[in-house]
Amino acid sequence: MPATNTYDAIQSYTLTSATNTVTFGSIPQTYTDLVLILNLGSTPSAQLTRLRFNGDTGTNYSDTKLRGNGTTAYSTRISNDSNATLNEFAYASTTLGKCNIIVNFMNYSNTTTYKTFLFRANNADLGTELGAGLWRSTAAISAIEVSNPGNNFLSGSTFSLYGIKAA
Amino acid sequence: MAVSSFSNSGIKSGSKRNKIWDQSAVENSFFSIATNTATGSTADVTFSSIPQTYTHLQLRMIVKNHTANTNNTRIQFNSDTGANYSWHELFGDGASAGSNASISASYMYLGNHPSNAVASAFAVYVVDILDYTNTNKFKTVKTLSGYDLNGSGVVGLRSGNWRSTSAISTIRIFPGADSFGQYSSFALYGIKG
Repeated sequence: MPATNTYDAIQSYTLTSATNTVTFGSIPQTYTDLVLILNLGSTPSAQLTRLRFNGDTGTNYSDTKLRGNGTTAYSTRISNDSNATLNEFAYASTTLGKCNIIVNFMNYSNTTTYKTFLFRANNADLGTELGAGLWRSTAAISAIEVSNPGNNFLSGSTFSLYGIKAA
Repeated sequence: MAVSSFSNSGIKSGSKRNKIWDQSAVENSFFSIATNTATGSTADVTFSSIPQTYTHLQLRMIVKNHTANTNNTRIQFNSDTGANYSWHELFGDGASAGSNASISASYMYLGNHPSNAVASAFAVYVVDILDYTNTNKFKTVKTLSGYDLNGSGVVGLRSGNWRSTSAISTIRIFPGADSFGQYSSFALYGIKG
């Protein structure tokens, strides 16, 4: 079984001022999976983080989450939403370095399957979340929009996209 | 590390600064070993003669069942079908969180996958198999998995242990019942430490 090196850095942003939305566009279709790594702050107040794919504003997003706050573990669900929400609980704080999120998009370029993605969101002060999200579209993901509803991501927040190619 | 400039068009507001890493200054460490994709009903998937040149392995999978039943995904190593596996899980089904465990099992449980009722929906798994070539320790596995069907679904964290000091040379992935559905895909990667 010949091994092929993979896990390539595709694109990375570090904000130099408060910004509401960061979009990864024209994503290469040459990988199998994508990994999005976020290290976020929010201003003027803590806020959740949302994703959209290919500019789709329809109610085509849903997820099942598991989370814990240091006292209780519980599970929630969102259906028929116009965004994917990564951190209903582990918000991006007003201080950098407290909220990090990793999202795995599996088979993102496959035009036969809906797009399922796994995400983990952590905030040292608030708790941790694990989610399985669904974008009900068989379109290949060519753009990912990361947004902060109503607020802005802090300057210094980082957004990094990687591609993994299967043999 | 060389940095190149590229378009700022992805940043919609605020000051824009961007960079792209040209990959030239970092040693390669994440390798694709092999991939299996189910073309129809598939009873199981086996990776054999796994190279012993990496430190860890990672499985990245999308899985659904071949029939109208939900099912679960299991793993065995080196054809060991004995009661040498244990696992724990923490999961959420959208309504409540739960936990399960099995101490002396004949397989390691990785998570649930959906039926073929929603043809285009799959469960996804990221499975980390740590120190798989080390003959001084038992083998530990960490799994993140889940699926959502817009009104149902489950997500969970699982840990597992194979009580053997043998290096892992074969991995068998199989459903608890039925078979894997079409387009289910299983990709094995090696990570050098």
